[in-house]
Amino acid sequence: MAWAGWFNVSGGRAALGSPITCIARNPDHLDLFVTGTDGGVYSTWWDAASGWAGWFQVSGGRAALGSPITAVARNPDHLDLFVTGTDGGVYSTWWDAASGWASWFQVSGGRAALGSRIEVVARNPDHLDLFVTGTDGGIYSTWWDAASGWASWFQVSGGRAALGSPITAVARNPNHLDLFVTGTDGGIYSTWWDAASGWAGWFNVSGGRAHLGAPITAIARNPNHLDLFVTGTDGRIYSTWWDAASGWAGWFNVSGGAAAPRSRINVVSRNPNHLDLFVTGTDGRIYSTWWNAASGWGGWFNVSGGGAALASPIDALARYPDHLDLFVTGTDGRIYSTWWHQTEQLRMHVKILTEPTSATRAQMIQNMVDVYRAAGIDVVVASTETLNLPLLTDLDVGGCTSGSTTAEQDQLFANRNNAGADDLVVYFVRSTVPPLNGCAAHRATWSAVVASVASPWTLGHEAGHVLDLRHVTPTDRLMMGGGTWNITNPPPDLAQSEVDTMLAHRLVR
Amino acid sequence: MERDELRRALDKDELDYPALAAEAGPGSIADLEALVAEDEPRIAPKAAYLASLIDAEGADRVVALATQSRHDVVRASAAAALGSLSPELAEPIAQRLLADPDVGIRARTVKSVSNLGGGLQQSLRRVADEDDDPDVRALAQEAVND
Repeated sequence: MAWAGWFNVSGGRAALGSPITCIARNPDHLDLFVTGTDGGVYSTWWDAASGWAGWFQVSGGRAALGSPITAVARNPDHLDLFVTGTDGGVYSTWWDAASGWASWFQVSGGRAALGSRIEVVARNPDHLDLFVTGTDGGIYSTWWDAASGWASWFQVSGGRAALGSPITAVARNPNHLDLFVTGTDGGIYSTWWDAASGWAGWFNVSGGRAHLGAPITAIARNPNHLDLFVTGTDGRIYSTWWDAASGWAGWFNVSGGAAAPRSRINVVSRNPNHLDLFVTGTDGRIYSTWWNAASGWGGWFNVSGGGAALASPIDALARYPDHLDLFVTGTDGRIYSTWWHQTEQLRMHVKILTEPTSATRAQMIQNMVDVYRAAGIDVVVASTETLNLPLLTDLDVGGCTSGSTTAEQDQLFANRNNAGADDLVVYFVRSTVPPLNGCAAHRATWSAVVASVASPWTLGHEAGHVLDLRHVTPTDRLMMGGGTWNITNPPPDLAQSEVDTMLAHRLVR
Repeated sequence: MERDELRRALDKDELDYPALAAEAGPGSIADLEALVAEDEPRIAPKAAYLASLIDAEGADRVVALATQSRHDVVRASAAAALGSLSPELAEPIAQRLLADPDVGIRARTVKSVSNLGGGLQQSLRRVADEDDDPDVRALAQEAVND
């Protein structure tokens, strides 16, 4: 598993602690929204084909510094945005693939304290439900329906919260909503709406408490289950859950985690049996932990050395079950991102009899690492050892036939210090007999040899043979049979069928 | 095969030498000699070894040329190629390689000529007695005993 380093997104900046809103209209596209340092509402996008675009102001929109922008994609060609404007009005605009960005408009005269988050849920593609704490502390809702347009605001079951308190809404199914908020007494409250029965009364969730205004994070891993997260009054990170079969559980501290009061815990469910949590810790470092149905909770770890102002929210999104994108305003006010991509690992041990002369060993390894990473395989150099075996550095490899080895190969391949049974050991020799750039013939152990005159791609090529890849004709591929010195359009490619073969090999795990 | 074809064939990561020798044939000796003379360590070792597998006049000349290379990988390939030459052709080349300053090349030479017999047995006995490296002496002793 591999986290990338943090990078600044297209030079973007925002006030410290500003939330970055990210949405994926489709798995190969991201849209980002933020209130910039000048109070303008800005956006940029990333597309798998074109990379990151520059930031632009969305239809002249403005909000108080640090104001959260809420974005919803009711369908892949449509975005709806919501923000509390500089005059306290609840505003919206939309983007449609056919018509571009519309102008901002005030939603049914709604108002909230400056910086208030507007919570929005699309229970179905033709319906939106909005929730906000109004200027009188009442919890209000309105809805939009494709057939009837915007409705008027109404107070939800008499609910109240401190000004600016964010409301969290989850639709476990299209006919049901669950709401969560920290109430005026610091209790964590919930209510629900069901198409059949309407709104229920508010109730305290398992005795939970938090600082006034603390955001409650809720996620439905499946339609019959809810997980809640909050930073408690003691600064510890708490969770509870609701299951249709068993009701609400008690609150528990998540792996000893702590954060500044009112810190938002961001959670992503990449699959129904997995949760990833993200938060800025009490030391200003960005932390993550995970829960897996099979293994329970993991320990917290710092994500790629990232840091942010205390209580900064970390926006996280899973475009694919094996991919996470993170966004945050860093300690320097620049907007940063990193990503995680699940990879398989190939453990490789390097034994040096003679250093390569045609390319450096480091270059050969880096080339292999890069090509294999593109295939989702992390090549880990688990150990490096120099072997003083001058009588084996011109190694007899016979016909270099798969499954067949010479006495000299057997003698050399017995040198497997540090290597596990399912680790690859690569031996850098001066030459082979007969002269080849490398040879992947092995028998009892996973081994390959690379000659000193090999190309920068031979190492990856020979390892490819060990992983059951055969020669191919196209000259832009790693396994091209015409000699990797003559690879065109480097770095060379691996076909999907080759990647599948590699991933299925027992050495890749 | 044209020389450039030969060069391309030798530039592969893995080669089927017997098949390439059959394809290249005796007519390729001059081109192989030229490729060895270029002394490019990526191609010259393979050219020298391929020449040794072709039953043609001049094959030994190509291998002998490789023994003069400044690159140890080329000389090592000449040492490996000796095993494919007749004892008469291999002997003068082996004499030079058994005196090579590189221990690996001397060792490979011993291994290559150990089964060739002829006057090489006397050379191997001398190596068994006099070589600077104990491993090479042991290899040569083993070859003589066999």
